[in-house]
Amino acid sequence: MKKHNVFIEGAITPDFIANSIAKHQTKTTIGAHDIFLGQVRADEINGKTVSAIEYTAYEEMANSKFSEIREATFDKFELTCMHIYHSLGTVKAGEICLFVFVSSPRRKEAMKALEYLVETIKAESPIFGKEIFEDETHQWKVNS
Amino acid sequence: MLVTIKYFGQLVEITNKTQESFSVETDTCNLENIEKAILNKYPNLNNTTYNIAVNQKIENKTFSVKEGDELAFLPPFAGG
Repeated sequence: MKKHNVFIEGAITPDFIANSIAKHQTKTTIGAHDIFLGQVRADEINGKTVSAIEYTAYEEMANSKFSEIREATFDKFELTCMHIYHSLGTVKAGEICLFVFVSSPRRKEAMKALEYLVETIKAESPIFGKEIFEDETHQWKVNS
Repeated sequence: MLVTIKYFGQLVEITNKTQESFSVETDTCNLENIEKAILNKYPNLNNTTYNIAVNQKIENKTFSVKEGDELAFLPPFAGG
């Protein structure tokens, strides 16, 4: 199974996302793209505000898991291509930490595939998030 | 026999390390016994939630661990 590295150090920039979209203009069998962007939320917890999340991962397992998820998604839905990127290290509130991009000849397949992908990534990838508050204390994030 | 144990996220704050070589007796090498030995070494892990992966796959307590395997203690996932 081909393994891609999905991890990017720091936030995923709007430029990076725009470039990814631009690269698909030569693939003219595509009729629909669907994109999910996960953004770090400035949650308020017990009077303190989250200023950033510091992401770490069990990278070898996560990259294998992403390959598995990628194969399963290609099997289930009619997709032309699929890209997954996740941040490692510090991502400030308001910045992007997850970029999932699927493309298909038809919109419904793209939309169904994207929801499946995002939910599976959140549930199954060994990525950990330390929520850092403005006063530099922290707590550990758990996906709900 | 020796196995590698990796710790992630919150668990690193308890063990103060991201990885160690851990010696286990060959006749007690299912995952449950190794977990007990680790909990004995780091009692504060008892207050945490985690799954254990062996060679990058989450396994249950009866799984039989071999020399050189890589175990990883994984707290709840928080990607995305």
